[in-house]
Parts: sequence; structure tokens; C-alpha cells
Amino acid sequence: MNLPVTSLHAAASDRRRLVIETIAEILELQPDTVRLEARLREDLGMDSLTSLELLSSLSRTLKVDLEMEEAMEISTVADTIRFVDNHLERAHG
Amino acid sequence: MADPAIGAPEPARASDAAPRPKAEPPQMPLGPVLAAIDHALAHEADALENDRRGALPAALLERARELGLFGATIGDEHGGLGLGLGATCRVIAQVARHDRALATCVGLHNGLGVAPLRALGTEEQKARWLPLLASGEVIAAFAATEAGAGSDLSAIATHYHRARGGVCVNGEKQYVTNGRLAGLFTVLARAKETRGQHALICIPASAPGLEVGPEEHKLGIRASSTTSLHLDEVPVSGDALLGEGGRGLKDAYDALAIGRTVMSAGCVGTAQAAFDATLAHVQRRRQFRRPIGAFGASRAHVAAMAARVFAMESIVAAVGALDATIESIASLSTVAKVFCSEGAFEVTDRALQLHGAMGFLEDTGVALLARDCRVTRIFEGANDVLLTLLGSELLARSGDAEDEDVERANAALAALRRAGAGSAGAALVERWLGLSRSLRAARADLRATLGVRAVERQDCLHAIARAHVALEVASCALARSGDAPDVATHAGHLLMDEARRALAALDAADARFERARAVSEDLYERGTRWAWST
Ligand SMILES: Cc1cc2nc3c(=O)[nH]c(=O)nc-3n(C[C@H](O)[C@H](O)[C@H](O)COP(=O)(O)OP(=O)(O)OC[C@H]3O[C@@H](n4cnc5c(N)ncnc54)[C@H](O)[C@@H]3O)c2cc1C
Repeated sequence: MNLPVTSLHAAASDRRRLVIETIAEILELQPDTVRLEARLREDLGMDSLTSLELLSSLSRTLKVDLEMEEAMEISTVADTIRFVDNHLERAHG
Repeated sequence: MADPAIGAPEPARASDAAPRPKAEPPQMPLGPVLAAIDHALAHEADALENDRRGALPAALLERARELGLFGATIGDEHGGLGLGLGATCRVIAQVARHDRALATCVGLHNGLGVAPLRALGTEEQKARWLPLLASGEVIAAFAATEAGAGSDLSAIATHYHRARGGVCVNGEKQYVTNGRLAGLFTVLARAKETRGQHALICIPASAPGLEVGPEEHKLGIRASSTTSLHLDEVPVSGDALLGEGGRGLKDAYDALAIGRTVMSAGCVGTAQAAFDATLAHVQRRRQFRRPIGAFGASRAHVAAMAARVFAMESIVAAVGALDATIESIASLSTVAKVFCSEGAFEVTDRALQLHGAMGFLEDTGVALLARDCRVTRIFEGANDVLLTLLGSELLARSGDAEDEDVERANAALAALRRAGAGSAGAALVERWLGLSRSLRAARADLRATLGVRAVERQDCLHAIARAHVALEVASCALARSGDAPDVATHAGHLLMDEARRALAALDAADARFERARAVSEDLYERGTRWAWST
């Protein structure tokens, strides 16, 4: 995957794309089929392992430390985007 | 030693401890069913001959039908025995004692084969298929694996597209158990248009465009049918898609939790058979003027085998006793699968060793037991993958459930006391609680130091998963002390030694991880091989 987003200051739309493309890559889906309201476990078949893979990949690409406890509360694709946004906001004002 | 039990536990909360067992619904007494299986298969199942022929004879399958084995999990309204998961496990273990290939056939049918239809099928689907499946007139198969999608089922390429009021399915499946025998295949496919939207689809073997490949030649369970499955524009009616659209991958994982449990029961049967054969052999065979079983080393082997078999029975019974909802068994069935597949391998290996040359020859049947169980560390989730999954779950779940541990310690202690193991029992339970605390501390430490990047450290995930497996099984074995106090105590100690070793591996984990990386990078990327100097 060749993602242009490597900076903390990436635009919100880039972050959204990054999350969706990362999910699509891990689950071998086409990015345009990943709906925001899709639930990671029930709809996309993710488990603890693939969720950790997703978050670990995001944390590497965005160069931030994501908290495990909070991360496990995430349930949908939209939650994941919100989680990353909040995290970046908190980390950088 | 102070009594480790600490008063009444708080009410259970969502946590990482095993869920509480729920009584199975009332059903027919199991004893006569098991006795009938023993009686019939002792005479009619020739596992060695079936292995040589590479197929289950028609007469044996017919006998299995008469015994009701194909309807074990199916309700009596559809003509089945209506057994719960625990009783089904006992049935499969009993069959496996006689012929693991038959147990694989019947187990796959009742587990992965029938479970999705029972859980997700509409009333019409159930009314159409369950009576045929219960009688064994139709045998079930489950086809998920493909050349490019083994451990990673999300990578499947088999797809369906809407056509003429139903769907058409295209793709190539591999390693389908019961492939040659099956009348109904539950196939995992994804929607063509979206590449997502997975679904489990019921396809009759008679569907046009469906072709079963030739038998594979295998190391073990050779009499169990394993084939490929070719699907070329296979038309199926719309209602053949099971459950809610798009959730097929999760549905497949859910079915695997049942399949894994039934498969673990098969491992118990294999291990029991190896143990029985060994016990007889070591008392009969004499060397150096005494039975070989009298040597200290042999006693250690036999005691370790007894402990392992006892522990395997205990964990399978614990999964079987849970309310068989998928949520309740997902985690403990993984524990059972890893433990029982490795346990059967260990027990059959010790059996081979104690049988000496006789064991190495096929006629004793011990070699067959060892060959038959090897695949169980690979299929229904390769153990390395399951340990990674279990480790990530342990890390992700934050519930700090000391009260649950105490509750289980109390149950074990009560059982040990009833069995007359007073102070030694208390020390054992104290040790278990101490190791459980160490595991919780290790999880918290990994969570804090590695966070979500722990997924890149499978060595650490495996260490906590292995400690968890050993401690879960130890508590189940100790709670069963009433059945055999000495064996339970021995099992408890051996398993706690394993938990301690797994946790100790975390101490030097970083250095070992780096060495493994350095060695493998040399081998993979630079193609460096050492010379064996002459
Ligand atoms: C006799 C037999 C019967 C079978 N019956 C059925 C059936 O009825 N239906 C069906 O759908 N399938 C069936 N299978 C397929 C079986 O489920 C797969 O073999 C299994 O899922 C593993 O997939 P794989 O063989 O492609 O191994 P791979 O996925 O290639 O894995 C090989 C090894 O790679 C390592 N590995 C892979 N991924 C990871 C990871 N994430 N982390 C760490 N290590 C990893 C592990 O060591 C693993 O053992 C059967 C297989 C056999 C041999």
C-alpha cells in the first residue's frame, strides 16, 4: 500500500481515507465498499487480532501511540476515524 | 499454608475468566449411547484396514447411521438425537477411540457441516435438510479453504453473483473433508460485485456445475475423504444463502468454534486409545527381568500421559458444559483446540516411544494414532494462528478479573478437599492463584509497553496465550479432582510448570526475538547459508 499520509497534520479527508484503505487492505476488500457505519466485528468479520493489526498499522503510519484500552471500544469504521482524529487532536492541541 | 480462598466472590462481571457453565437441556442418558457405540465399533471398525484402503467402508457408514451418529446434534423434531455440545463431544471421543477417520467424518458433519444450518437456516431450509442430515442419508461438508486462503479466510476468491432469482457460485475450494461422501456443501463465498459481503451458501452435491476432485493422499486420517471442490456457475436459490447477508466470514468463524470443540473431543478419543494401549503394553512387555513399566522413566511417561488425557477430558467437558452460544465458547474452544491437538500429539508420541519397535510398525495401531492426530495442530485454525488470536484477545480485554479467579480457585479447592487432598490441595491452589496474578501482570505490562503494536510481537502474544491455556486447563482439571485426585494433582502441577515456563520466556523475549529476526533475515533476504565444514 502506498499511502501519502504520513504526517500528523494530514487533512481530515486524508485521515479518513487512510483508515478506510487500511481496513480494506487488512480484510482484502475494495476501499469503496467499506461503509462508514459498517461494524468491524459483525459486518466486516474482524477479530481482536485484525483490530490490533489495524490500529498498529495506523499508529505506525500516523506516528502516534494509540492507547489499547480506548482502542478496544471502537466498534464501527466511523468510530475508528473519530478515534484517530481525537487522538491526533489531543496529542497536538 | 494459609487457605487461599478469600470469602465469597463478587458477582461476575464481563471479564476474561471462563464463562459459567449452564446445564444442558434434559436429554437421553448418554451411557447407553456410548455403550452402543463401543459395542458396534469394537466389532465393525477396522481402523488399520480403513487406513490402508484410504476410505470408510459403506457398511461402517451404514452402522454409524443406525447408531444415530449423524444426527447427534440435530433435534429430535428432525429425527436426531438432540444432544448438546458436551454430550456430542463424548460421542465423538468414543468414536475416535475406535477409528479417528470415522470420528472426523461424523464430527465434521455434526460440527462445521450442520452447525451453520442449525444456527442460521430458515425454517424451510431446516425442514428440508435437517431430517436428511440427521439420518445420515445426506452427509455434510464445509468448504472455506482455497489455494490462496488458508489461515486467512478473508482472502477467499470464490464468489457469487445474482442470477435468475437466486445466485450463481464460482470458485475452487481445497481440502474439503467428506468431499467424496457429501450430499450438501456449506460454501464460504464473497459477493462478486463488491469483493466483500461474504456469505455461507448451502449447495447440494447434485447442483449443476459442482464437481468434486480426486481424493488427496495424506499422512493421517487417510480413510477420511479430503477433496477439492470445483464450482462453475453453480446456480442456487436465493434462500440457500444462510443468515444475514454479508456476515458470512463471522458466521464461518462462529461455526469453527463448534468445529474446534468437536475436533478437540476427537483428540481426547485418540489420546485415550494411545494411553490404554500403552498401559497394557508396559505391564506386559519385559526387559532386564522386569516389566518395562516398572522403570522410573516409564512411570514418568505413563503418569504424564494420564495427566494429559485427564486434563484434555476436563477442558473439553468444560467447553461442552457452557451454554453453547458462540460468544460463550469462542475463547475456551480455542484453548481446548490448542491444548487437545498438542496433547494428543504428546500422548501418542510417548505411546510410540514406550512401544519401542512395535509401535513403529503399523500393525500395533499406535503409529496410526500418531499419524491421525498430527493434522489437528494444522486444521480448524493452525495453532500458531490461534495462539496469536488468543494472545491478542488477552491483551485487548482489560477486565481484571481477580474475583473470577478466586471463585474458580475456591471451586478447585473444594473439589480437592472432597477428594481428601487437604493441605497439598491448598498449596496447589495457592500456586495457581499466584500464576494467574503473574499472568495478569504480564498482560498489563505488555499493554503498557507495546500497546497496539504488540501484534508485531507474536512471541509475546504466544507466551501469554500459552500461560493462559495452561492455567485454564489446570483449573478445569483440579475442579475434577473427585474423579482421580492423584491424576488431577499431577496434571495441575505439570500444567502450572508449563504456565511458569511460558511466563519466564517473556523475561528474555526481546533478545530472543532479535536473534530470530537476525537469523531469518540472513536466510530469507541475503540467502546466507552456513557451511558444514569438512
Ligand atoms: C486433512 C485436512 C482436512 C481439512 N478439511 C477442511 C474442510 O473440511 N474445510 C475447509 O474449509 N478446510 C479444511 N482444511 C483446511 C485447513 O483448515 C487449513 O489447512 C488450515 O486452515 C490452514 O491453512 P493452510 O493449510 O493454507 O496453512 P497456511 O495458512 O499456509 O499456514 C501454514 C503455517 O503458516 C503459519 N502461519 C500462517 N499464518 C500465520 C499467522 N498469522 N501468524 C503466525 N503463523 C502463521 C503457521 O505456522 C501455519 O501452520 C483441511 C485441511 C486438511 C489437511
